[in-house]
Amino acid sequence: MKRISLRRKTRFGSSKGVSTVIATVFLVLTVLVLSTNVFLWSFLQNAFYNQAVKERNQQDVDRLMENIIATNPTVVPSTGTINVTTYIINGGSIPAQIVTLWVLDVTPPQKYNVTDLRASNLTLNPGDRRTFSKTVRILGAISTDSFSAWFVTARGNTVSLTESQGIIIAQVSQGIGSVAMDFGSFVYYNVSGYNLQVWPNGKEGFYIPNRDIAFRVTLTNFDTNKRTIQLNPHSTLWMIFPTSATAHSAWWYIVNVNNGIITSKTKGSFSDISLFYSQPTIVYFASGYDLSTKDFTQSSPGYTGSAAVNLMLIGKIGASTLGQNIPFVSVYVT
Amino acid sequence: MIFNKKAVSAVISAVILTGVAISLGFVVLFWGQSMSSDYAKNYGKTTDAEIAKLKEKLTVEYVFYNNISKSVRIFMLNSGAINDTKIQSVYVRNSTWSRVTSIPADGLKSFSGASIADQDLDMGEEGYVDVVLSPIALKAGKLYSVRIVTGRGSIFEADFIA
Repeated sequence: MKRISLRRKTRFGSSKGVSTVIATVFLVLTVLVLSTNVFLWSFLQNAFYNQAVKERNQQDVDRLMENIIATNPTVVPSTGTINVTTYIINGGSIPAQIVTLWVLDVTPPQKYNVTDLRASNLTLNPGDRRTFSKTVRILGAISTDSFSAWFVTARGNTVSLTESQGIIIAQVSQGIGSVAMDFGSFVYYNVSGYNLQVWPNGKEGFYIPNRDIAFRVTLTNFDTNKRTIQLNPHSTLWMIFPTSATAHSAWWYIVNVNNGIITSKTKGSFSDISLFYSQPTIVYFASGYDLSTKDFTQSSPGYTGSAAVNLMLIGKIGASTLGQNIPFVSVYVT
Repeated sequence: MIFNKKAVSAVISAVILTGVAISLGFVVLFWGQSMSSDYAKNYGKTTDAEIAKLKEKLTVEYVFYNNISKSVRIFMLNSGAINDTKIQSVYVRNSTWSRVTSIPADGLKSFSGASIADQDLDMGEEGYVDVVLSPIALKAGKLYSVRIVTGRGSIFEADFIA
């Protein structure tokens, strides 16, 4: 018997190592299955994420490639209604859809109209040209107000309707700088204390009284590099009376105004005014003193007759300093 | 030979050992499977959330400051590639000051002024929110910025002049 048992043991081997082998196989299987699962899943998820990143990049590229140009824009205001006409060209390499028209009356108090253009199906293929005309209503708008208009495309780009017009102005005034002034909205206010009277419309600025007054000027930044201009308290509107035997001049330093009240009353209280590219911005000149050196005081022409008016703009353009003098209107002081 | 039972206990123990090893192996396998499945689920959720966030894009068309009601109206367009973009909160701020506002339940309105039923912006949809700052008044002519935080955690910013 002992011999048989010994033989069996020799033939079939000892069963003592079987569970170890099975456990090892299971362990290896478990590790393999789990790691494959996790690896494949992570790989799949990363692929999804990469695909999303790719799509997002493509969207950004498409957005950048979009180039809708609005040429010869005209914004014709009459009481309560504004007619916007322009010629639209898709100068980009991908189709683009215009979804919204914005018209902003920048004369205080600001008013706006937003028109949904989806029903007009303003989808332009590359190279397409189309004439666009639309009459919008802005309650309280009058013909002498200043307006700004722009389109918004489905990809979220903004197309300014004043840009091409601005470029023409900028080209005309290139010799003297990159700021355009709207002659139609040049007005003056009588000043009482810190209050601008007949707010917000004021009175036409070309015939002015010889008393304490303030000026409102609408400026648009047409810098070819599209940098923002910041005007500091040294900026001045000044006039000279060339017909007088002795030199006479008057000046009004830049001020901050809120709701018809001058808010930069004391030395150092003036906040720089930013002129963003292609956005008409209203600027007020009222102080006899530079607000970085002295408190606000009223200012008057001090002389009568014809005068040439200049704008001395001092501040920053982008990161650089700015200093330019623009001769822009004539006034008659009575 | 038939009555020799000396090897029986060895066989039984081998069977039991094998059975236990197999059972334990399956237990560990299923436990590992469920753990990895949980991990995969969480990883998938995180990836999906990130992808959804990546697809979000809000364009601020215009920011209008009403100096009478001392409120800011922010006009937005969902120019992204995903629907259901909710506005979580809006910051109005400048370099020295900031104010954060949560958007009320019916705060998101279409450009026509009607409240948007699902209170979110789908692809190509436009809407606005009002942020009341009163009694704080913004300084006229000064530069401010709005920061819009969506429900998915994306952040969009735009500048405006009060």
